[in-house]
Amino acid sequence: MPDIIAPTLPNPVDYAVPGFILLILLEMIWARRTAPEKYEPNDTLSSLLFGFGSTVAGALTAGLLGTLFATLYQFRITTIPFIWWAWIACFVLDDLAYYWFHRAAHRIRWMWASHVNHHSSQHYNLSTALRQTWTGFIALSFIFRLPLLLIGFHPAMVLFVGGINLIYQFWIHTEAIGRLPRFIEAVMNTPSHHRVHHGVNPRYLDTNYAGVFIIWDRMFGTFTPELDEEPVRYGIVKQLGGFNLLWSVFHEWVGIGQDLWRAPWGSKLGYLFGPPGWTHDDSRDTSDSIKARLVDGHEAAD
Amino acid sequence: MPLPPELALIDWTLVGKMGGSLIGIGLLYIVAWKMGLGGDPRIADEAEARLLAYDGLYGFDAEDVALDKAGMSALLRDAASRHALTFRVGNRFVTRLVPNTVGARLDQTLLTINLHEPDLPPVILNLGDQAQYWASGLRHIPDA
Ligand SMILES: [Zn+2]
Ligand SMILES: [Zn+2]
Repeated sequence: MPDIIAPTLPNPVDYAVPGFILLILLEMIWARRTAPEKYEPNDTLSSLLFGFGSTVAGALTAGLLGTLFATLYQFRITTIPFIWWAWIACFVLDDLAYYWFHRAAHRIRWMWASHVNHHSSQHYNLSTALRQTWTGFIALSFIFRLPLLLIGFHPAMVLFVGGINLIYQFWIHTEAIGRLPRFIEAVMNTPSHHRVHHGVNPRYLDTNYAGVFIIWDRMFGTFTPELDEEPVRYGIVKQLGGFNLLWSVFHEWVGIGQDLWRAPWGSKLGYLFGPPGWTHDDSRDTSDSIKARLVDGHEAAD
Repeated sequence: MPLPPELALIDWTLVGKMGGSLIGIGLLYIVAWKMGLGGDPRIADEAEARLLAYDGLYGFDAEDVALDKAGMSALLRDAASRHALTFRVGNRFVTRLVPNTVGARLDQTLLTINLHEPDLPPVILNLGDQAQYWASGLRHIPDA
């Protein structure tokens, strides 16, 4: 396999952080004028500390992840150079990988225990975008990206486009933007589509998994449009009862531990890898059971 | 002058980035407070309490409602004598089904309900002369 010399690429998220802070400030000013209830100081602080802790956790596992990426890259089927079309292909395929990661993160409790962090605010504003998990590595959030390395995209390119994807997703966490022109809403993930993804209304649960391109949801049958007659209520099915940061970060992991301890032997795997809310005696709601009960004419998506 | 060897071990760029982020977080928090963001929402009436419980528990159909005098919380009961507690967290409301193992304490008009969740202090409802009636109801919650 030919070796290629990778350019030294920065982490794009580092450069975006000052922009994030500035845009949150501007959205707060907008909220003060139009709808002060859209921000709540303790909620904002909690979301921002989630973001901070997530970067610390990311730095701690970066070495392991880098080693894993480099090792797998050695087994690539071809070598894709650093040229313009490779960047585009890598970005699009990484976004497809993100779609499947994200769908799994909502349907497999082990992964949800980490991703729930991003959803556990009842608010939806730019600070919510920074509400990122601390336990993504443990939840194996990276596995959907590994095929890109085996195809032959360089680890540095894969990490870079992943950063751009994350930055794109920042600005869609807002209620300040209604709908965009139809051709944008048709192709791109937008504030409207992603509001639906954060919704706990029965019809909105487990839909719109897209990162950058909404086309994946349209292709794989998980797209749901935002309806004017059904304003989105945000958060998780069992909303958090407070702002305790460590509990907010780890509550679902604690829940898994408690359920594993109590569950009969034959059902332990279900509590680990079944959908969130799954129980051996159907004593809790899952998004499927909620939809079946409360959405007219529902057919389960998965 | 080069840094002493101990200090050279520290990744100062990383420290700078982390410090900058923490300062940014602190500033945004203070700005949110100073701007008075959040407000002070209350449960206006029984209909709103019913709706909050219905949405929060995906179909809780309340027959009877007791509203806290300040509108900070509400206690609801359905036809099967299940009880739901709706309370404020920040400027949003959360509803929980009250388990029949709940710790409830009555003090004149004040009913204190402890759901024993790690991030949730006991919820205190001022139910006026209805407090006694609802305290007794909490002792008769059916098994889940
Ligand atoms: Zn999600
Ligand atoms: Zn989001």
